[in-house]
Amino acid sequence: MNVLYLVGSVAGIALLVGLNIVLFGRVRARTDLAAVRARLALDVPGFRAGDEALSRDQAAALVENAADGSVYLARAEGDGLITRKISPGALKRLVRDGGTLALSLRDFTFPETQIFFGDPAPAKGWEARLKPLAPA
Amino acid sequence: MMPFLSLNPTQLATPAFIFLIVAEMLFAWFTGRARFEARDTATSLAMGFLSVLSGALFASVFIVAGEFFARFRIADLGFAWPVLAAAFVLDDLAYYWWHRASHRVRWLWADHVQHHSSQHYNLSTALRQPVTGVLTPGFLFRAPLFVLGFPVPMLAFVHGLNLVYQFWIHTEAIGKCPRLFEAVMNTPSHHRVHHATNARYLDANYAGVFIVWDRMFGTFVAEEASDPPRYGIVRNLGTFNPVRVALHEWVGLVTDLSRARSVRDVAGYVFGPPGWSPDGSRETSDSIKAGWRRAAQSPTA
Repeated sequence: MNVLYLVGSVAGIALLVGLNIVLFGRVRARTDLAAVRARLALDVPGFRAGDEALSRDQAAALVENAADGSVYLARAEGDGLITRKISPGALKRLVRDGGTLALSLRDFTFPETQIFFGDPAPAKGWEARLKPLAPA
Repeated sequence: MMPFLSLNPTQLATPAFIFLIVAEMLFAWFTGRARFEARDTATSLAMGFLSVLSGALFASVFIVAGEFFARFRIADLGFAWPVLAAAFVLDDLAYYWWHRASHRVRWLWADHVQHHSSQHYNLSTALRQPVTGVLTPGFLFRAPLFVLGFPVPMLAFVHGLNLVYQFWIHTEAIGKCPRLFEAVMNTPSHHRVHHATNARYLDANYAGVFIVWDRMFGTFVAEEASDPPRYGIVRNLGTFNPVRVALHEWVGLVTDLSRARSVRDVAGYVFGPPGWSPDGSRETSDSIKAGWRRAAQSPTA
């Protein structure tokens, strides 16, 4: 392998990423409930939005599919959005600290996600709802 | 002998790749008709770089495999322009079947999914190449070409040309090409469909260069203006870490295999479609499409 080619490739990557930042800036990952609902409506056949909660930092949300009662966790990632259905067995850990709910999924590619409710009451409500899906 | 066959088309084209990505970024900045995100771009380019490194590291494996199959050749087609043209076309046919299998067999998907893992679709996505090809038997799809008697360096060269062709079709900056071109060749429109997760577009347009393979084998789906493609994979990744991107499906596969309870389970996880599970509780592209069709046909839809 040509060393010049490798060095040139690394320089090219640096140039392109730098230009990307200059032209389009750095993205702060955030979303809103309308965007989450719209995405789920596109991805989940028959989806109907039910109960929902947006984290105060706008980085994540919990949304119920009223069609079958399932709950989806959505997380802003870059300028995109990733969603996961919280199926039985999908939750690895569920921890509430006051008005904050932390969810870890059994998913190598989905980082631990915190939902900041501010108020403990809705956090308790969602905790009670998700608890049966988490390991004892 | 054709001396240019010793050249590596993808390496030669790299400066053009960089120039065209810069041009597409400027186009996106001026018009808003393409999307870039710095971390996504960095991941794609880093994976392209890692792919080159792994390709160089394991090149000998592929050369040995090619030479092994060449020992069973039924003819010696030699070096001539018509042979080169035939090699290019047949290599693209082999690419079609490899690509189709890579979407339908989880073992192959564990490698190929890396290319589909971006939620963006721009020229940098073209360079988001898998780095674990050596863990799959993908070279078997090209074995017939060696057995037919095409020279090994010729097959390496035309395969490089094939990959270079596929670079420019990873863009939203180009709408539709002239009708005749769209009918025969793979184009940005056809390949946007291939990278989309919309149910109607799943498992379609596997072509490398010639879209005629999809038309012939029933996997062609046209891009609909009413259903703009949403890019990525069914379970998009919450990471830009190239190592996690490269390994995520392998980790999932090994985890599933560790829980397999029968030979049927093992075979299903390895050779079944992505999403296969013993109890059918997970979604596959077939079940997603079936759900989409049901929802589309229901009276409330």
